[in-house]
Amino acid sequence: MDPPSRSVGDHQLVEEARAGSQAAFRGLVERYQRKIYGMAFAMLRDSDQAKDVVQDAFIKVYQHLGDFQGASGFYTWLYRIAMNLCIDRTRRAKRIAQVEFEDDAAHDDGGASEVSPHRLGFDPARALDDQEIRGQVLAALDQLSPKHRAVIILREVEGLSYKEIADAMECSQGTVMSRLFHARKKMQEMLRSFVEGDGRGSALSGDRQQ
Amino acid sequence: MEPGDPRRLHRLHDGDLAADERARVEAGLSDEDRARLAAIEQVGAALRNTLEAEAAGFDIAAAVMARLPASPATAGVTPISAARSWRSRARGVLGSRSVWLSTAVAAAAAVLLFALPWGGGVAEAATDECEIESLEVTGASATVLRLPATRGEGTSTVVWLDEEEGP
Repeated sequence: MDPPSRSVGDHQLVEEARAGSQAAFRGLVERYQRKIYGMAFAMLRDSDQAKDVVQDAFIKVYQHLGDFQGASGFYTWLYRIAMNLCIDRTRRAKRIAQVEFEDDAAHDDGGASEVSPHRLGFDPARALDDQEIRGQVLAALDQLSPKHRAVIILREVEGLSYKEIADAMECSQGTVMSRLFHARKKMQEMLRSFVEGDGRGSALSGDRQQ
Repeated sequence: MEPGDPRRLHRLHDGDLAADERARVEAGLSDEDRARLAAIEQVGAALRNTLEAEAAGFDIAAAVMARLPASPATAGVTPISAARSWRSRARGVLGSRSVWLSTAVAAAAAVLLFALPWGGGVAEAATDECEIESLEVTGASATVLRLPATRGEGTSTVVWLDEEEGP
């Protein structure tokens, strides 16, 4: 079956799915499964668990189609469910042993969240076809606490505003900003140390500035 | 840009500044500020590209569709057989029936409190915060079902009463 064209809006597919059209629901799955998987994989760092989360999220969405009010977009609703499933799994697994920052206190120190003016040392576009670079990006992501990881994914990948992230994570916008700025700085440090640490900088970078 | 306020750079990058503040901040950017903005963008791009590449080719639509019930209206309903089996398992795990008798009585009371006005077909408990292990009903048989909540997420527990025919 061909997936519904992009011209068919989410709202229409949701309505058709509510009316019993599994083809319409499949269209929603095919439209968003990769985005949700990317987010879940980034959060969980385990492809099998990420797959489970994607499936569970879509099943849950299907079960609650009747409750969907449409006030937020379908995708917003979907990723909230998926993100909550990820956070639940992360909490259960306790994969991250590091202590969570007390966000407002630990980060509210003026320059602590200041990123370096130096470039990463490699072209980020190379992450698309260089598995080693992707491995380093994911390793850097892994160094973040689940909350910091969630915030940077929601902002950089999903494109949510501070307010939308605050709503999704049930915290203040100030906390969102603290977590985001800290996460960016940490990611930058990790990625720069990768380039500088293994001598691949000159090979990777066509754009190294300093 | 005002010195000592690195957060404004992030907010500028993220489109979080009002138009007038944005214009003011942009007008005050130093070369180093511009380099920091470029660095912020690089981190985001590396993350986006990485996740896009990791998710390429991912397709579980068939698996999701195979798990769906026939229609959303029946989604999330635990089959009666499963509900019964759950009750059996609960009995095994939770031990003595007498220990749970009080729970059952409390649950039955909750059911009565929330009973719908049509008089006795279906009673819906407010939440799943209590677990109904078993239900003894005189003159009827009871089945525990779990249904999607009418608002938000989660499920509601429904006790279905079938009144037995009188003599």
